[in-house]
Amino acid sequence: MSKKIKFLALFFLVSSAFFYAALSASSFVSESSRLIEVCAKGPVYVPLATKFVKCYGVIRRVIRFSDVLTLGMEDCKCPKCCGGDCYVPVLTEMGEIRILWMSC
Amino acid sequence: MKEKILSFFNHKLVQLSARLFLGGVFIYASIDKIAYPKEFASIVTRYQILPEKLAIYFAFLLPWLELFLGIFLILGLFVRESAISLSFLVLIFMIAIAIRSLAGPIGNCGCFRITSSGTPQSIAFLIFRDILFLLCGLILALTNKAKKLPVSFLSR
Repeated sequence: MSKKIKFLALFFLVSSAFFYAALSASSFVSESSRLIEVCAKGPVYVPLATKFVKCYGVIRRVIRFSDVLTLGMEDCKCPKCCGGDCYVPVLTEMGEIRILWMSC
Repeated sequence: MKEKILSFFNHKLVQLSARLFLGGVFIYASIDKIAYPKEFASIVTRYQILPEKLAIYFAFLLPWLELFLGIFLILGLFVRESAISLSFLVLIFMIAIAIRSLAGPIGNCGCFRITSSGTPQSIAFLIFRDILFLLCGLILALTNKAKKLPVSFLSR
């Protein structure tokens, strides 16, 4: 295979990867505008299957939902962080209040 | 003295080690980001340096850039160009980490592992690590000559 063909094949491969990445990014951009804001207001409804939320307008990854707040963790309420995580109380299915932990 | 240093950095073994090290680091760094692009995008938006949409596009494209540049370095393709690009990226990371650190401790910096919840990392360690990568990149960039692209219309 000539150098020129190898180079063009490489160029095509790289371009395809970037094109795929750009497409995925644009779908996440539209998804991000629909994310639930959990920090600015009081407890809001968040389905348990939620993977991402917004806290004061910033996208955060949901780490877990817990039933109760462990003792000593009261100070970790967002925007304050403890060990890379923070929490907010949210309403989940059946109107239960749960603790949503997200990454900082 | 200057010639001795230059000949040391031009040595085949030093060049190969630098290429394998820097290339390997960036390929390793890209894997988790490619596997979990949304999680990485959420980390990049938390830096609050770029507008949200731009940060998302950056987060989705960056890992592929890291991967390809890492592969190029390891294979010895476009070594100078790849090294310059990676050095520029490292410089951007250093500035981003410095700016983000002003707002408080960094949880997961998004450097390598994306899904770990992120025990806060020391800024000094992150900057020191990036300086090491930058030096490696600069050595490769300064000791390798630019090559003509095989496709003439692109090399003009």
